Amino acid sequence: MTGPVLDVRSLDTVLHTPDGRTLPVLRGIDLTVGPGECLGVVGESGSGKSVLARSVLGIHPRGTRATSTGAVLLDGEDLLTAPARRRAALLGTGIAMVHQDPMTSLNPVVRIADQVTEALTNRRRLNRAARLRTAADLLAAVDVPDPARRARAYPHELSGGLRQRVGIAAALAGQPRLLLADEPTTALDVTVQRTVLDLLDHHRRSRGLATLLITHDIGLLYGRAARIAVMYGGRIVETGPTEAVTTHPAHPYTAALLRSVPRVTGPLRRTLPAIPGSPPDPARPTAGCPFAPRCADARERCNTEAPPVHRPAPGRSVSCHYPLGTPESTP
Amino acid sequence: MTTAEPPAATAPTQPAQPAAPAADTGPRPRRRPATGTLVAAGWLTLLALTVLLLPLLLPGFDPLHGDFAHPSAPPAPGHWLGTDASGRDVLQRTVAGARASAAVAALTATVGLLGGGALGLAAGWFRGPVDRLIGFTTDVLMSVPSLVLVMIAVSLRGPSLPVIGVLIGLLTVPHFTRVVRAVVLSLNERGFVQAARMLGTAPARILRREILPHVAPAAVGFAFTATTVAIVAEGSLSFLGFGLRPPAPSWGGIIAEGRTNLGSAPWISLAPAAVLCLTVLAVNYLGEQLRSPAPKGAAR
Amino acid sequence: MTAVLEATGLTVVHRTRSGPLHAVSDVDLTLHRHRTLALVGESGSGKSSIAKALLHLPPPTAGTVTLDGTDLATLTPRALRALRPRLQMVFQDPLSSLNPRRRVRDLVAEPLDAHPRPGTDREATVHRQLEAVGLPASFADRHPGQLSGGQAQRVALARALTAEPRVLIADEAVSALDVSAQATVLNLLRRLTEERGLAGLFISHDLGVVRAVSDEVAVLQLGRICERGPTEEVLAAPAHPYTRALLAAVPEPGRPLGDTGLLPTDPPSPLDPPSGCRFRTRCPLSDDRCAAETPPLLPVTPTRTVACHRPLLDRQA
Repeated sequence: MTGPVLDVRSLDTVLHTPDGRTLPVLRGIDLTVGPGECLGVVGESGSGKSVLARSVLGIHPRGTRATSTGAVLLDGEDLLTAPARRRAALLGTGIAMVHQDPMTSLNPVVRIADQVTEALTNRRRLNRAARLRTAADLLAAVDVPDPARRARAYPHELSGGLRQRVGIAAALAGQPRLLLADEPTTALDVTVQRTVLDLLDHHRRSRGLATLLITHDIGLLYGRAARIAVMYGGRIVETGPTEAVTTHPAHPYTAALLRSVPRVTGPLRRTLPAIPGSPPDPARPTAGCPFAPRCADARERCNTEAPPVHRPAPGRSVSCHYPLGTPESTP
Repeated sequence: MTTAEPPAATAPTQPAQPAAPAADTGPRPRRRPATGTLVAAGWLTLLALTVLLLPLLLPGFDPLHGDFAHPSAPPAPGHWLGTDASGRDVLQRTVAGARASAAVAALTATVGLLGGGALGLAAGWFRGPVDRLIGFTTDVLMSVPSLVLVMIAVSLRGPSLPVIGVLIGLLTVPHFTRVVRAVVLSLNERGFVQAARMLGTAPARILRREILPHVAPAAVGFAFTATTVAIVAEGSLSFLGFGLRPPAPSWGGIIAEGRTNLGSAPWISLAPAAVLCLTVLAVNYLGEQLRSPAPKGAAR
Repeated sequence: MTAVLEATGLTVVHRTRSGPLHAVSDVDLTLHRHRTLALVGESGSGKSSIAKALLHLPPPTAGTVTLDGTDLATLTPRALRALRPRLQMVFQDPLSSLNPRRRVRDLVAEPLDAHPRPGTDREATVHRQLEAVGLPASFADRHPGQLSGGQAQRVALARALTAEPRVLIADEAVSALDVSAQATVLNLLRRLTEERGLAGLFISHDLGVVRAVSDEVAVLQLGRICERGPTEEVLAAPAHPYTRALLAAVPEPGRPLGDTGLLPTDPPSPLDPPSGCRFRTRCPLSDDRCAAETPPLLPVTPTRTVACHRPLLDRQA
C-alpha cells in the first residue's frame, strides 16, 4: 500500500495583523489525500478553507503574515520545515494550484503558450516553436478546441471556461502529484462548470493525481469527491465518505448546511431552513464548540468545553459533544 | 460565497465578510498617524507660527530695512540666516516671502479646485458630447506652454499677486478636471450610484450625497499638489523676473536676488530655497496621505 | 391576478467596438401582484440587460414597458423619477450597492429623503423596515463595512421597501452569499412578495434558488426566451433541450450526476450568434431546420410555451 500524497497533521495557522494581534484561523487540521483521490473541503466564507490551501502551499497574500505549525507532508517530506528553495522547487512539480478566477491568475500580457509552459521552461530550455507545440499538446489534453491557435492567444481573447481550462493545463504541465483547486468553477456558468469538473476528474483518474477540491457548494462534491471534510471556524468539524456524510450527517452544522441548500429535486420547500446567527470571529476564540452559538441542539457543555472527536464509523470522524445519530444526541 | 477569506486577513479596520458582530460595538482602534505625517504637519505648523508671530515678537521687524553696515553677512546672532547684498535680514525676508507664496498657493488651489471640480463633475456626470467638449478644451489648455502664457499675461496686466495666483490656478484646471472626471466616471459604475438613480433621486442630490463625498478626498489631495506647483511656479516666475516685483519679497524673488552672489554668499539663496523645498515636500506628503484610502475602510 | 408591469417586444442592442451586440431580442413578460417570475440564464443570456431595460436605466432600444398602465417612455424625466420608487431592484453585490460612507439609517431612509413624504416619521420607518428584513434596530448606526454579505443584502432590501415599491427585481441577489445567508434572503424575498403583494422578478443562473422563490420561470438563451412556464412544471419536465441541460448540470447532494446532453463545444459569443435557433450549436437534437428557421415561442401545454422545433414535450394539438 502506498502512503498518502498529502498528509496534514495538527496544522495550526495564525495570522498576524498589522496592529500586532494574532488570529487563529486554522486549528488542529488533520487530513490525508491519497494518489488519485479527491478530498472535498467544504465551508462557508471565513471557515478557513482557503487559508488551508495557502498554508499547504506556504504562500499567503501580500501583506499577510501567517505562521503555521504542525506538519504538512508531501510524499513524506515536511513542507513547513523544508528550506524556502526546496519549497519553491516543489511548486508546479510537486503541488499545483487552480484558482477561482483564471483571469486574475493568468498574466494578461503574456501569451497562453508561455503561461502554460511556465512550469516546464523553468527546467528545460525550449525554443519558440517547440514551446508552441508543447503548449498546444497541453491545451489539447484539457479539451481546448483549436489548441495551436489558442496557444498564441492572450487570456482576454478566451471565454471564462476556456481560461479555466488554460489554468488547469498550466497546473498540470509540471506533472504535479497534488492539485489544489480552490473554488475552481465558482466564476463559471453551470454548464461550463460541469465540463471543467469532469475534466479535473478525468486527469485525477488518469494521472493518479491527488486532488484537494475546495468549495462553498457541498452539492458540487457529490459524485466527485470520495471523502469530504466540512470546515467551520478554522476547524474540520466532520469528515468521512461523501455519500455517508451527505445522507447521514453527524455534525449539526453539516446537517444544517445540507438542509439550507436550495434543491431542484425532492419536495418543494417554500421556506428554506436558514442557519441563524453569523460565523465565529477568529479574534474572539471561545472555549467551547465554535458552532454552539448557532446550534439548535447545543447544551450547556457545548459553550464551555471543546468538543471531543467521535468516530461513529470507520473513516468518519466528527467533532461534537452530541453527534447526530448516536446515543449521545438524544437527551 | 466567492470572496476571499479569512475576514481579518485583509485589514484590521475592515471587519469584512463574517462581520464579527460584536467587534464594532466597542471603540475602534484609531490609526496612529505615521511619523512622516507628524514631521510634515509639524514643519508646516512651525512655518505658520513663525510667519504669524515673528513680526509681532521681533522688535524692529522690517524685511525691507537694509543694514548697510553688514551687506552679505554670513549667518550669525542678530542675523540668523545672514543678510543679502543690501544688508537685509534673510530670515525676515524669508518669513515675509512666505506670505506672498502662501497667498499665491491658496489662490491657485481655489481656482483650480472650483474650476476643475466643476468641469470634471460635468464631464463625468453628463459624459457624451459634454465630456468630449470639456476634454478638448482642457487638452488645448494643456498644450499651451504655460510659462509663456503667464509671462505674456504678466507683461500685459502687471505682476500683481491676484494675477499670478489666478493664472497659475487656471493652468491647474485641466489637471483637476481629469482627476475629478476619472473619479466620477468610476463612481457611475458603482452599485450605490446606480441604486440612487433607481430610487429616482434628483441628480443634484446624487451629486451631493453619493458623488461629492467620494470625489472630495481625491480633489483635495490633488489641491495639495497644485499648491506646491504654485509655490514652485511663482518661484520660477520671480527667478525669471516675471514674479512679484522686488523689493516686495517672495521666496522666488529672494532666491533670484541671491543668485549673483551664489559663490560668495550662498545663504541668501539657499536659506529660502531650503524652506521652499521643505514646505513643498511637506505639503506633497500630506496630500499623498489624504489621497490614500480613508480609515473607514469600506471604500472599496 | 393583476398585471403590474408589462413589457412587450423588449429589445436591447449594445454598441460595442466589435459591432452591435443583440443582448435582448423581442422579449415579452408580465409581472403580477403576489407572484414572482424567475429569469434564468447563463452569462450573455441578456438577463441583466432586461432588468435595466425594465427600469429604463437606460430605456430599451425597442419595445415598451408599462407600469400600472403607464408607458414609461411617455414620461418626462421628472415624472419618471417620481415613479421610480415603485420599481425597485436589489443587486448581486450588496456591499457595493451601499455607499460605504453613509450609515445604515441614512441608507434605509434614502427613498424618503429623496422623495419627502410629509408626516412620515423617518426614524420609525427605518426601524420598521429593518425589522421587516430581520435586522435589529441597533444596525441603524452601522456603516456598510461592518456588515456581512447577507446583512448588507438585507439592508439593501430594507432600502427598497422604504420606497414602497410595486415591483421588486432581484438581480443575482443571492449568488454572492453563503448558503446560510442565501436561505435567509430567499425566504425574505418570498415572504415580501407574498405578504405585501409585490410583483417579483428574480434573476438567477441557479435553478435550485429559482425553485425556492419563483412561481413562474422564463429561461433565456442569448437574449431570447426559449421556454416559459410554472416553475414546478418546467423543472419536473423541461421542454427545451437547453432547460434540460441547465437542470442536469446543477450539482446537488444526493443526486447522481446526470448527462447534460450538450455537444462538447463552447457557448457561442453573443456578438456572433448562430443563425436560426441560437442554441443549435450546442444542441444534441439540432438539424437543418434549426439552422434555417428561428423557432417561435409557441404553447406546448396550456401553461407552457417553448421555442424549439423539436421540443421534448409533445405539442398539444
